[in-house]
Amino acid sequence: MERKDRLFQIFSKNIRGVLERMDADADGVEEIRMRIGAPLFVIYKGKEYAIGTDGMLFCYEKERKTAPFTVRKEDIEETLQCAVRSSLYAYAEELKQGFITVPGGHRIGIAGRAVADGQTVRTIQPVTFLNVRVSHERKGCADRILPFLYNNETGEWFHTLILSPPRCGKTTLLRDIVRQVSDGIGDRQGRNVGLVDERSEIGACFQGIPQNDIGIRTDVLDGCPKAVGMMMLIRSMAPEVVAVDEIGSREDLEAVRCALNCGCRILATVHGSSMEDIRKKPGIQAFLEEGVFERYLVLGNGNGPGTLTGIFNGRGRRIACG
Amino acid sequence: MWMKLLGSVLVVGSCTGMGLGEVKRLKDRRKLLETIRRMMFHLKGEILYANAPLSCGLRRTGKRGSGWAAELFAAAAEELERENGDSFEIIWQRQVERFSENTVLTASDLKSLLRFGMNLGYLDRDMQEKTIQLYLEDLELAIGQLQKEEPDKSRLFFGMGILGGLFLTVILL
Repeated sequence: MERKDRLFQIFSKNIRGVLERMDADADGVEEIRMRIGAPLFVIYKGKEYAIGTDGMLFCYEKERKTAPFTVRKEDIEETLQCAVRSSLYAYAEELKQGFITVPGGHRIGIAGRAVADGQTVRTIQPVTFLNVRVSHERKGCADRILPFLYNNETGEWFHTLILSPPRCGKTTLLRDIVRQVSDGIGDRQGRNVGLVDERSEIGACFQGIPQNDIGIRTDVLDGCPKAVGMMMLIRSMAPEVVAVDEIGSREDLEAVRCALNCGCRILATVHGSSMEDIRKKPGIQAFLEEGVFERYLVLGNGNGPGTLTGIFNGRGRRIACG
Repeated sequence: MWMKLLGSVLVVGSCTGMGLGEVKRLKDRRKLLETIRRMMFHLKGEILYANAPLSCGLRRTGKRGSGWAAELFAAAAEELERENGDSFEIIWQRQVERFSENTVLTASDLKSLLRFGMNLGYLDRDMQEKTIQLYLEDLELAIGQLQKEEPDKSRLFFGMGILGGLFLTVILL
């Protein structure tokens, strides 16, 4: 099945009809935003467009006379049911966090009326806003930086932390690093990688099966809290490299320390836009001071998502520019 | 004379066969309802314990069973996985109607099966449990009633088959 068809199958028949008429390449679609009573917006190659009933993309502010396709309540309800294949109950835990991951690895952000139970959100009902973030696998995006991530003398991978603001490609980069570490590069033997994919973003597992290529020696613990997952993987799967996305909480950092003590190499990501940010984060700052991570990759959005700002060593000194 | 005797035997035999056919149909219906009940318990486990989406739950339940019910479950799962944009209710209705042409289930059994599909997949796990529970109660009632009636009805159908055959023979002679 074509990538375009697979993506559009998430949507209700009505929306699917409009998207199929869209005069744009599906590979360039980054997000599709649905709000009741508002135009259907598509983020295409970094720019926002409204979509007309005939499938034409246009800039809403500049061409207000063009009739946009307006999202109805039924469109959102039906899209949600289609995306989860009529099994919303199976996504209850993800729903509490405000997103679900569907086949193909696409992530659907959800908003609406939160049904709260004290300080915790029990569910979101009714759902009135959807943001479909299209999963993009960029194989080879880590090629340029991989030579900086292993020690030429010992052949060992460095403990690596990727820093990036949201939507700058840290998950995509981590996925490609995991794939290459797992598969092996050139004559470099592949390693057993344990991947804790709490939000199903890296492997995009559906029913436990990764939808993205994450390498032939990668074991995934999908939908599992990071701190618990890291320890479970170390105990059960004996990984040589542990990969985890968006560490930050105290529990996550403790689990990273445990993994380090177990002799595993660590590949992790964290929100931040510079090394200065790291110095301000209480938990991770200690890692920098102790020289726990040997490589820091800083990403930005200067030339689009995935722009490398710099590579730093364990002491925070720049060893390569973007 | 021999021809008449042979004809009589054939008439009595075929009428008895029809009676026995009805007895078998009754027995098959009970067995099928019991199979569906067993599969419902399995589906309940898939949803509540494994947190499986409907398509997976139905497919796996279908694989563990056999016969009409297993085929229905597998077909519904397959159509759900095809993601044609229809809700589960519509898919289930379409499949039950397709399979209803070749079943021992009665109209009321099929109505109950359709009602089950109307609410499945809606809201949370609690709702799924209650929907399955409600259908299981319907099944229990139907099975209980069949078990109670089966011996009497079987005897009745068998007897009516023989007697009907004899009656027809007498009239024909």
